Amino acid sequence: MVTAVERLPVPPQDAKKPVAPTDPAGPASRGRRLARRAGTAARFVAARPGLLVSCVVVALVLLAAVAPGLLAGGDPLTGTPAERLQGPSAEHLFGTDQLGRDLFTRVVHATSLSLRATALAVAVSLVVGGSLGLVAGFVGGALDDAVMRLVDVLQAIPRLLMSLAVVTALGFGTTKVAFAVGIAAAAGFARVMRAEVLRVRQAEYVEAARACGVRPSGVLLRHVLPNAWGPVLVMAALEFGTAILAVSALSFLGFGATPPTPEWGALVSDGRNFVATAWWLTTFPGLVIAATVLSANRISRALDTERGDDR
Amino acid sequence: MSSKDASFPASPGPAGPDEPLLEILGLDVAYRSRNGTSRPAVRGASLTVAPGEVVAVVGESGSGKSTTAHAVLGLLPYGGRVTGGTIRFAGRDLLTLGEKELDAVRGPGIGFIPQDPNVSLNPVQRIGHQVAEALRVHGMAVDARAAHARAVELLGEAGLPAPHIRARQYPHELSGGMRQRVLIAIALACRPRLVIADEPTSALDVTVQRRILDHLEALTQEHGTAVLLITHDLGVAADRADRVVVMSDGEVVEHGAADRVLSAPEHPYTRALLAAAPGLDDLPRGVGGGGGGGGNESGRGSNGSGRGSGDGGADRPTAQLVSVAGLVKEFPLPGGDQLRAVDDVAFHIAPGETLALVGESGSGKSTTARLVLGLEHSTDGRIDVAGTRLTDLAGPGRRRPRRAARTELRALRRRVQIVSQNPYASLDPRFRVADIVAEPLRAFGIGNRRERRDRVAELLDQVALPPDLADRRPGELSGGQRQRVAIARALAPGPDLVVCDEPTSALDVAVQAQILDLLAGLQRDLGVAILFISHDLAVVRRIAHRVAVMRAGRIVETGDVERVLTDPRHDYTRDLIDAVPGRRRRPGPVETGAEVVGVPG
Amino acid sequence: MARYLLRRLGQAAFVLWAAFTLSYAILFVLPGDPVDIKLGGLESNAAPEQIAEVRDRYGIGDPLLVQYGKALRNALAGDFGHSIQTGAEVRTTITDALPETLKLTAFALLLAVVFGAGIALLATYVRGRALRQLLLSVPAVGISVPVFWVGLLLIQVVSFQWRLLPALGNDGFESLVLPAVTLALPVGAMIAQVLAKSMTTALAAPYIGTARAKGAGRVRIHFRHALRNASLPTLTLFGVVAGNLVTEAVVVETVFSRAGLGRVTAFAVDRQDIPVVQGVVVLSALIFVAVSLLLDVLYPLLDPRIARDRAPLRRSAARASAVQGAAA
Repeated sequence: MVTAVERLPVPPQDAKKPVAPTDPAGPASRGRRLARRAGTAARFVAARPGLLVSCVVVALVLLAAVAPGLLAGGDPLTGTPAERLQGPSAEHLFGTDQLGRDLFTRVVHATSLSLRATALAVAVSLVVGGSLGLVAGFVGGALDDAVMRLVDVLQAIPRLLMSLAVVTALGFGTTKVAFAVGIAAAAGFARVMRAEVLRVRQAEYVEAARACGVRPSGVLLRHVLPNAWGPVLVMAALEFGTAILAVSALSFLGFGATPPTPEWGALVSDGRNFVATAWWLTTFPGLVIAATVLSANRISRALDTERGDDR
Repeated sequence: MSSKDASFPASPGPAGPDEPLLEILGLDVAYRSRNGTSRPAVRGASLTVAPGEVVAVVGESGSGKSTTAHAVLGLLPYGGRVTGGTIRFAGRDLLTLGEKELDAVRGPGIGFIPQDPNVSLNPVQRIGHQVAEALRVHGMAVDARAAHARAVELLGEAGLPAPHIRARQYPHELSGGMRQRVLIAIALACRPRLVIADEPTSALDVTVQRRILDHLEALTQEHGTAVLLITHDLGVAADRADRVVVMSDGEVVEHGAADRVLSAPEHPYTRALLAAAPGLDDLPRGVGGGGGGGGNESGRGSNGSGRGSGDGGADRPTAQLVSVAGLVKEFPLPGGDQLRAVDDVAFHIAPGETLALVGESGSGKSTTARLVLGLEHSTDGRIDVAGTRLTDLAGPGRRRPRRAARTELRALRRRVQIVSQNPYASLDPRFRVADIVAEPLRAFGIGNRRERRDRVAELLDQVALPPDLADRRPGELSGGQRQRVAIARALAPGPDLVVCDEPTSALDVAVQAQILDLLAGLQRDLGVAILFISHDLAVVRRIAHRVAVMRAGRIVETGDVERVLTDPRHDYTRDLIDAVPGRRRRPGPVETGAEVVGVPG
Repeated sequence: MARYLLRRLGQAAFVLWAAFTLSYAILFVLPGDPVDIKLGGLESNAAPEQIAEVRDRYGIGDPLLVQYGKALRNALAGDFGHSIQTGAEVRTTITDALPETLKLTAFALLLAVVFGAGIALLATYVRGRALRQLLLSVPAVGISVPVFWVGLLLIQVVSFQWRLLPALGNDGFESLVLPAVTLALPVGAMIAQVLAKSMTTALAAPYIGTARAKGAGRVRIHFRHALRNASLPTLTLFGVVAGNLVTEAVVVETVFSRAGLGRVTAFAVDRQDIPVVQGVVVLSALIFVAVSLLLDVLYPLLDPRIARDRAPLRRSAARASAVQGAAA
C-alpha cells in the first residue's frame, strides 16, 4: 500500500510497462533506459504546471505523513489556553483552536493517520476486489457467475452506505473505517480486474502463445497477468482520492479515531461549533483534504492518459 | 449550372480548357501533437479535378491522401491545420470561407463518402432521416414529408433494395454494403458537383466492393459529377480513374492520366508501388517484376519464381502432411440455433506445399485454420496432422485419456505454428523481440539459454531483421518488422506446417510484397508447408501452389492455383476473380497503349 | 414483452434479496453486541434477567439460520423489526424521515442535472481551448472537495457573513437551498464528467464527420447527433446517482442539522442500531433497482441497438463501476 503512494509522484515511469519478467539485458542498457524514462517523466511533468503543483502537494503531504516533526515541531495534543481561538498568523499559520492548540501542527500530525487509513482502504479493495476478479476471470463458469452476482449486489448499495453498514458491525476506529471503505470499493476492482483478464485472455498474443505451445499456467503468468493488472493499478491510483474523501467523511461523522487524536475529517468536524466565530478551524483542514484529493486525482489522471498513449 | 455539368463529358481524358472544378495548390497540412510540436502531414500538394472527371489519389497509409481530402472539406481531425496553400472550388477559395459558408458548400457543392460504412452512420437515427437531413439542412425539401419521400428515392437510386423499408430501419440492421449505399445516397443527395470518396470500399468484401464502385461510377457519370477517389489500391485507381495522383510521405510524387501513370510510371516510388502491388494479371513473380520489390527484398523476390505452373500440386506426393475430411464446426446462436461456420470441409496439404484457403469474411476460412491449429474443437469430421489424429485428442471426438491427449497435443503444437493476421496484436507488448521469438523454444524446453539465444539470432537473420532488434519491444517496430518477428517465432521450433491467417492484410502494399517474398523464400529454404488464409486472390496467386475457395463454410473449388485463376469452374470463383480490382483497364494499355499517352519509356 | 418484464422483475427481486442477505450477514454475523450498547455499554449494571429479556425480544438468542429465516419472512412483509434504541418500528422510522430527504435529494438532483449537463455541453461546444479547459476543470474540482467542508463553507459565507439563508434546520424552502447545493455539487460534477467525456467521444465519431460533410451546422451536430448518443452512458449513471444522493444526505443533513433519513442513519450507525441500518440498506437497494428498471424501459427508446434481452442490472452496475470513482 505504501508503494501505491510512492509511485504517484513519478507518473510516466510507472505507466510505462515495468521491466519484463525476465530481463537478461545488461545492467548498463537497463540503467540507461531507466535514466531515459526518468528524463521523459521529468519533462512530461514540467510541461504541465498543474501536474507539477500536484506532485509538490503530494510530496509535502507524504513528508507530513512520514516525518511530521519536520514540518511542525510542536505537540498536536497540548495547547496554550491563553492563545485559544486565534486567527491565522505567522506564529500560528492555521490559527489555534478552542484549547489553544496550533491547528497547523494538528493538521500535519493528522496526516499520517489519515493517509495510512486511505492506503489501507485502497489496499483492501485492491486485494479483495482484485483477487475476486482474477479468480472469476480465470476460472470462469459457475464461479464466475457467482462472483459477478455478488459484485452486482455490492454495487447496488451505495458505497458510503456500505461503509456505514460495515462500521456499524465492526465498531468505530480509524482502522475499521479504512477497512469499511475498502470493502465498499472492492466490487469495482473485481469488475475491472475480471474484464481485463477476459480481455487479455482473448488477445491475439495470448492465442499466439497458446498456439506455439506455451502451457496454460505459463500463458496466465507470463502473458495474462502482467498485461491485465495495469488498468487495475491505475484504478487504484484513481481510488486514492476517493478513499481520502470517504475516510474523512466517516471521520467527520465521528466514526474514526477517538479524540483528541487528530484526523483530517474529525478536525473539520471539531471546528463546526465555531463556524460563526473562528472560520479557520473548518476552512484549513478542509482545504488540505481538498488539495490532497485534487492533486492525487490529477496525478492518477496523468497516469491513466499516459497509459492510454502507450498502447 | 446543372445543365453545363451534364453536358460536360464524363469520359476519360485530361482536363479541358475550362477552369478546373477543384484546384489544390501547394497545400500544407500539419498536425499539432500533444507536446506542442507540429508534424507536417501534407507538404506542398497540388492537384486539380475538372468537372465530371474522376481523379484517384493513391498512396499508402500515412501518405497524406486522406488528410488532403479532409482538408478540402474543412473536416480535418482535431489538431490538424492547413498551414499553407489554397483550395479553390468552383472559383472560391475554400480556406477563406467562414463556417456557415463552408456548410453551404458541403452537400450541394461537395459530397463526401467516408471510409468505414460500419461506423459512419449515426447509430440512433433512422436511415431515411439521415438521408433526408442532407436535403433539409440545405432547404432542398419543402417539408419533412417531402424530404422523406425524396430520401426513399435517393436510397433506391443508390441501389438499395426495398428503400421504403430501409428508410425506416436503423444502421445496425443493414449490412456493410447496404450502409455504404446509404452513405452514397447521402453524398449525392444534393446533387453535388464533386464527390470525395475516401477509401469508400476498403472495409468491404471484394465482390461487394466491385458492385458498389460500379454503381457509384454509373451514378456519377449520369449526373456528370466529378469524383476525387482516395484509395490505397492501385487496381481500384486503374479501374475507375481518368487521372491518377500518387502521394508519398505528404507529397505528390507523380500525377497524370491513369493509363500513363500505371503503364509508364516516372517516379521511382510509383514504380515500386506498382511492382509491389499484387495483381492477377501479373506474371508469376520473378519472371517480370523481381527488380521492383524495393529495399533488401528485391533479391529475395526472385525466390518466388518457379512456383505456380512449375512444381505445382498436380503431382501430389503420396504422404500428406495434413489431411482434413468431413470437417464441421458449429457455434451455438443465442436463439438456440446452430451456426455452421465450417461445413463438410476436406483438403490436404503435402509437405513443403502451400495451400491457400480463400474466401470473403464469414466464409469459415479462419475457423478452419483455428481447427487445424487445435485452438478450436471440431463438431465433426477428422483432422490428421503429421500422422496424429488431432480430432481424437480434444473436443467431442476425444478418444484418449486426458493426460495423454494433452501431451500429444503439445507435441503436435511444436510441429504446427501460427502467423496471425494483425502483427500489432499478436506480439505481447511487454516482451522483447528476443523473448518473443524464443517463446516456443522455452515452452518446449528446446536448448539451454545460450543455444536459444543463438537460435534467436539465426532466426532473426533468416527473416532479415537486424540483430540489434532483439532487445527492442514490439511497440518500437514497424508493422512489417513485427510480422517478421511473428514469422521468426513461428519458425523457431522447426515446424512442419505454418498456418498464416491473413498475414499481410494489415500491412501496406510494399511491405505486403516483402512479407510474401519472405514466406516463399523461407518455404523454399526450409521446406515447411504453409496453410495460407486470405481474402485476396492476387496475394494468393503470389504465394500458393494450390488454392481452395471457401464460401459459407464449404469449399466450392480446389485446384492448382494457375488452373483455378485462369479457368475457374465454379461461378463464385469467377465472381471473386472478376471482382479483383485492376482488371478492367490493365489489359487495356497493353493492347492500345500507344493511343493513350504515346509510347511509354 | 411480458416475458421481458417478468425477467427484469425477477432480477430485481434477486438483487433485493441478496442485498438483504448481505446486509444481514454483515450486520448480524460480525462482532459487536447491540444489546450491551442499548443497556449502557461497559459500565452497564443491568441485571442478567434484564439482558436476557432484551435478547429474547430481539430474538438474538436463536440459532443464526432461524433468526435469518424469521427476519427474511418479516422483511418480505415490509417489517424490519424495531429500532433497538427507540423501540419504534423500523418501517415507520424510515417512512417518517423519508419525505424531508426526498425533498432535499429531488432538489439537489435537479440542480445537479441542470448545472452538470450545462457545463458538459458548454465545455464541449465552446471553441477556445483555454475556456474549454477551464470549464472542464470545474467538475474535476467538484468531485475532489469534501462535501461536509463545502457545506460548512457555505454556512460560513452565505449564512453568517452575508446573512442570506438560514444555516440550519428544516424551515421551508429557504433552508433547503444550501443543503441542496452542497449535495448537488459532487453529483453534478459526476454527471458533468461523464457527459463531457461521452460528448467528446461522440463528437469524434466518424458519423459526426458524415453529418458535417452534409453541411449540418454546429448546433445541429451538437444536439441532434452527438447528445443523443452521449446521453446513454450518462443515463446509466442514474442508478448510482439516485442511491448516492440518498446516502450523501447522511453527511449533508449532519452538517446542516436537518431532520431526515440521513440523520436517522447517522444516529443509527452511531448507536449500532442494526435493524435501522439494515432497513436503510435495503431501501437504497430498492431505489437502485427501481431506477434501473425505469432506465431499462428507456434504453431501447433511445438506442435502437439495445436488444431487450440483455441483463439490465449488469449493464447499470458495469457502468457504475466505471464512474463510481467519482462518487462517494
